[in-house]
Amino acid sequence: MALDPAEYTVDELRDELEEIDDPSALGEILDAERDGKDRKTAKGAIESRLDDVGGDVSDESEAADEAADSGPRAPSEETLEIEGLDHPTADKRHVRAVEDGVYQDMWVYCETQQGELIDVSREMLGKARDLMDRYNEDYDADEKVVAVVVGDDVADQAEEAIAYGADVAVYYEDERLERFLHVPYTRIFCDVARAADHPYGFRDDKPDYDWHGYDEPRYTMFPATNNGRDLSALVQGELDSGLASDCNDLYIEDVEISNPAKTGEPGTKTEFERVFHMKRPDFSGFEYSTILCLDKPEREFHPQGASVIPGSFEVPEADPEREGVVVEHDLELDDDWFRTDVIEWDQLEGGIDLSGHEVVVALGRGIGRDPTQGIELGLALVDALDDAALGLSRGVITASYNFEGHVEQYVAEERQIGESGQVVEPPLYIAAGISGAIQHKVGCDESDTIVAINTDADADIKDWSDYFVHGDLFEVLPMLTEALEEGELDVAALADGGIDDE
Amino acid sequence: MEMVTLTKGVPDFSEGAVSFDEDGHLERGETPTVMNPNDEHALKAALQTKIRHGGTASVMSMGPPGYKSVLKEAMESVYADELYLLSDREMAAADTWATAITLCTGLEKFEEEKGQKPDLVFAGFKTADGETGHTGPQTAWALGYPLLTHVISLDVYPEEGRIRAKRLVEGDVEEIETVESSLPAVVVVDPEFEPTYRKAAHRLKRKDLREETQKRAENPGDYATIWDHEDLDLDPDYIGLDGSPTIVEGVDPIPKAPSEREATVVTPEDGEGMQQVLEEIAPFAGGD
Amino acid sequence: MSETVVEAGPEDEYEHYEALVVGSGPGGAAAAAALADRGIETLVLERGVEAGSKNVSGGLIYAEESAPYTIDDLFPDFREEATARPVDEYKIHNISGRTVKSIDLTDIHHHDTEWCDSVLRRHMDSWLAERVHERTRETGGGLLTDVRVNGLLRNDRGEIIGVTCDELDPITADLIVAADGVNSELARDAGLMDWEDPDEWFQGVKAVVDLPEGAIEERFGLDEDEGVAHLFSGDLFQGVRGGGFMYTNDDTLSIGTVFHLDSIVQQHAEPHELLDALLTHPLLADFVGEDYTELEYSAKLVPDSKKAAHPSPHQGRLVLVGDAGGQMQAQGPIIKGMNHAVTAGALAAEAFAEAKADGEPDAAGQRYERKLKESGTMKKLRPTRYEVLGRLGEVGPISAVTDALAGSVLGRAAVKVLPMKRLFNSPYLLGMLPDTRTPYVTLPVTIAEALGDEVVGESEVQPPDLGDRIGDLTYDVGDPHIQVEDNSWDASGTAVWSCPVSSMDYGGGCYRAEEVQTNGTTERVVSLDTQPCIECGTCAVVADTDWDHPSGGKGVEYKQG
Repeated sequence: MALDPAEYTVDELRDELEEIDDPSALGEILDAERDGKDRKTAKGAIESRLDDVGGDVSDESEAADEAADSGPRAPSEETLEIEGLDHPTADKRHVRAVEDGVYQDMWVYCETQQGELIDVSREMLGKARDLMDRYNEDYDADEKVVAVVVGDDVADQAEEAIAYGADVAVYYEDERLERFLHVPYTRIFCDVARAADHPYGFRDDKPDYDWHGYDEPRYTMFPATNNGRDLSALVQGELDSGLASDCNDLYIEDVEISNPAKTGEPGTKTEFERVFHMKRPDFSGFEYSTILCLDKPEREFHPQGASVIPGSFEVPEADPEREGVVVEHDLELDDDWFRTDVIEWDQLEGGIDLSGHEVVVALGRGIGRDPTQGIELGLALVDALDDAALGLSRGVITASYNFEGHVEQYVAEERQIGESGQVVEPPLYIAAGISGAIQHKVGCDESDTIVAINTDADADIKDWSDYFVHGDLFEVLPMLTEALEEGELDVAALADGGIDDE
Repeated sequence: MEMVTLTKGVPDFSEGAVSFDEDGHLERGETPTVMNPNDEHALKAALQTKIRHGGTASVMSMGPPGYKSVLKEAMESVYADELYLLSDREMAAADTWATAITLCTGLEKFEEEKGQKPDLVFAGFKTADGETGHTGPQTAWALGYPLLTHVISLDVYPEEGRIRAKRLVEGDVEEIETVESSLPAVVVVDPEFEPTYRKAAHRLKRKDLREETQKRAENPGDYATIWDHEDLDLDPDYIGLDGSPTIVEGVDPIPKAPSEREATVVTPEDGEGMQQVLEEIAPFAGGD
Repeated sequence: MSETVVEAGPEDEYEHYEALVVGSGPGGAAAAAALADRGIETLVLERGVEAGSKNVSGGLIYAEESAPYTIDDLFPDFREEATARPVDEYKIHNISGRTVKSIDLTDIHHHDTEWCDSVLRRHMDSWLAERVHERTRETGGGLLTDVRVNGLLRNDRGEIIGVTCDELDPITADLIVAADGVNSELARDAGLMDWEDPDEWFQGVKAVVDLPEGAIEERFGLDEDEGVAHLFSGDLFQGVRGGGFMYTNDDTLSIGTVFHLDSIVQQHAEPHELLDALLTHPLLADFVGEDYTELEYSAKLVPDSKKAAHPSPHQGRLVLVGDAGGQMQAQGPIIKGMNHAVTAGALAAEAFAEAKADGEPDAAGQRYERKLKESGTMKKLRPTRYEVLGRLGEVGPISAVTDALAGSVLGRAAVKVLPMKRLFNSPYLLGMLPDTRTPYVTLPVTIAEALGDEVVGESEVQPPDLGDRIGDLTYDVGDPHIQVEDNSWDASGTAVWSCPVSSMDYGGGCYRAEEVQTNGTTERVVSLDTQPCIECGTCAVVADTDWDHPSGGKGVEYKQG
């Protein structure tokens, strides 16, 4: 026998079994365990290994064992089908899919904050509009963008959703809903989304909207904010479907799939039409995945849902003339949906967020010769760039420089980059007059390109920058600004011509 | 208090541990599995509750038998009393909804075995691999428990059967809410969560627990219960990949910034060099 | 019942322990162990992430024959497990340029010495703390790290009843032992100690140097269980009053310098440069070797017990122990602090236990003072001979005369005939030495010149620059714990050179000299960035600051100590 199971704890045994591939050897071990300690968990481990290596667990002694043992055992696929299982998933408690459902339209949950639509809601409406215009063209269809707004006193926001691209805007208002609450918000969204005669609807008296001639939405979109993401998970769960979170690219197209979980049969391919392709960074930002939410035989996974990272799409121009249907939804709220309650809330002080910009221009103690002018030069370069922010090293923040009033406001701890400040990773980081101590490095090292400007040829930053301009920032910064403003790339001429003259 | 913290094993994405193939794809086999870093915060919230109010802190995870190392890690950080592993090949490759259904069933089995509902189920915000943040909320939905998410501080009032939490709200501005809820509840803990122990006695108790747990963590298997789909009465068609609405269609690596840089040294007088620098900056030009 | 909110409530709502010990160095550990052994419920609060992480000493701990308590009385396995090497050989090198006269000091080293071991504090203190926790836990208390006690809790009559902390709600206790070190916030809160006068302080700076395994045995000619201590004085320190030391640890050397703070201030000396002068002296070349690896750079303020030891170190329920009460005996080559802290801690415990037994726990402080006196401890800390003669020697004209005398031809002739070894080894004579240049500089130089031999060989040692040194230390990333109250050069400029992690020509240290333009005039000011602060306290004395320790677990973390 390869090993005596009695010598091992179940834990150890599992590890040992990983090494054994021969089913007959495993069979012997199983017998030994039955004759010996006869531990249920140990037998399970050996059986599961046998299963892995393709052995057959059942034999006579197993049958006898089963007869004696009233505990759970391993039925074959056959028994599964014959007897069925008396268990929660078998009675499909969580399975609320409709059969042969009709799915249409793209639904957008428009989150509000302090009575206003937040930017990402507008961004999603714009994106949804584009996607559905294209969809209607591609598939010769006439499907809509439906906005959903929930809160207290949100009729105006529903109107606004039309202006940003919705064809229908459904709103629900109640003073108890001034703040987001998971359960009632989810219930309301799902109540609107489901057809009046939906088998899993919450009530019999749901109004039958003429614009809503389908079982469930085809697509849903939610903001990937704290509350929006939660709502997306709950709504899609309640509707027994799936979703991709934190997407920053979306498109609709047909796709051929060979995954047997979706085709129902290994080795075959199935064409899925009108599939929402949801792209998102995951694996801690190491990979970019495309997620699809697809029906499988016997179970339909609709709507196909996504949550959207704020800022991923443009805010569209509002068109106040746009026409659409605004609907106030009616539903009696159940007290049991209010087991959580928001007692109080506060807005947090908004600091300066240096992340999310294309460029960060950071200044260090190299500005010491004339700190005010140094800040001015940094700001000038920031202005010459499309989307840049001004950062500072800790050295500048803690210095006793006397800044003149007009630049003093920029010298604040909230602009500090580094270990004890903000960490940024823009496509371009320009570090002027920063020596590059390790504490600063950790605040910007992940930037794509680092350009350093320093008078000290041995500054530490030289070791971790892509370009090291060995020069005085009071000279180099204006050169760069000037060149950008002029759109003049011929720096050679600028350097020779001496822009200092201007 | 009966507390269960949900945790997951994820590839160790920390520098030096994570491994990528030539195309930049993650090499799962070469990358060690660790407890999901965000779950640390959930475990801290559970520990805080256990220390302040007593009770049992359990950890539950769904994953392969190799997750024992993850459970051990969880045990050491929450000083867990009991470990539950939902482990079965049928559960593999589940997306969040299939996972939530499985975890919900695991928690119901837990209730059945204990004869008592967990008062609090804790989960972390987002895993380092899937990064969805859906599993905690969907598990709450499947259980029918109230849900508190993005929790940064937590006070429990066992006698009243209530909890009060502070949570973060995002949007165009950031907000902080104080929320109350009845027990049982699912609490998804934000990475900003910091446990507070303002009593020396609580900190001393934490030290006692640490010492005690370190001893127990030498043999985590002794405290582990493993349930497969049959133990949980789960139909394989409704869990794992088969029960998942979503699939991953394609994965592209995201190029990372170079870790080693070699600076091109230029001087302001060096026209050609400055030209190069400017070409790096010019694409970002614009502004008013 | 929310615990996230700190609310000042009536006294009986606070957590209460019979005894509260603040700080887990040797003084705190001794007090806590002695209290626990007497069955007193004792809570110990330490602000470092681990005991020892905030602590630095030169590195020798003594057990004195005459002391009522020694550390191994209280912690039996101390020498086997917590110390580096026993130090049996002790010598001083008198240096003038490359000329050195070494004098053996083993006699004075062994005077009243049961044993003496070299130690590194992170290891020693954390070892002690583990035992302290075990023993105090038995009493219902225990030891907690990462907790900074920030002040005294008083009742409405102004009496001390407990402490307040950054991390915990206020705690009351019947006895509060302030063993919170040289910059004791409790002693200052009580008004018992101050940071006023640079001449009451020394500043010590130390490098822990890594050596290959077996190098100590080879280079010093020692067995594995033997160690040496070397002292250095003479003209290598820019005339600053003080000297250097080198102690052998297991596989490292503790090499440091200790100077009178007032002398650093007056001479505009940079402490790190003074240390480098010692490290790179050819005399050390053979010991340190060619591959210089500095594991840690550290600094510490050292109270001069002759002037700073509080003669009555208690107030109400508060007693001061060790450095917190200025109990650091530094007289000539003798540097003894930890042993006195241990004695004081244990005496405080004894005093409280007796007072409690007599039903008057509030009298613990008085009893503690009496015990310090009766045990002879206070006499060692504040020798009467120094009071009478030493201080006199420091008065200007007389100092100049002795200095001139020692340095004169007459002096040089005299040292040739004087029994040098006997002179240096007399505790009586050392007790009288004034703190002038004479014993630190003039006399050693004279001795070296008259009696010394030239050192052969060159030093290959290249100490790291200040930036690299402090780059290796853990940084305080919380709010600045020190505020400069007056940033003018007159008020606080001294800190730029006196601070061991700042320098006149280095922009990355704590204190930096800045020129600012104000209405066309240039003014010289200082700026402060506490990020590289190693919490020595120097700037609290020499500059105009509002000085606090960082919160628990924050700030510098010494791995060697």
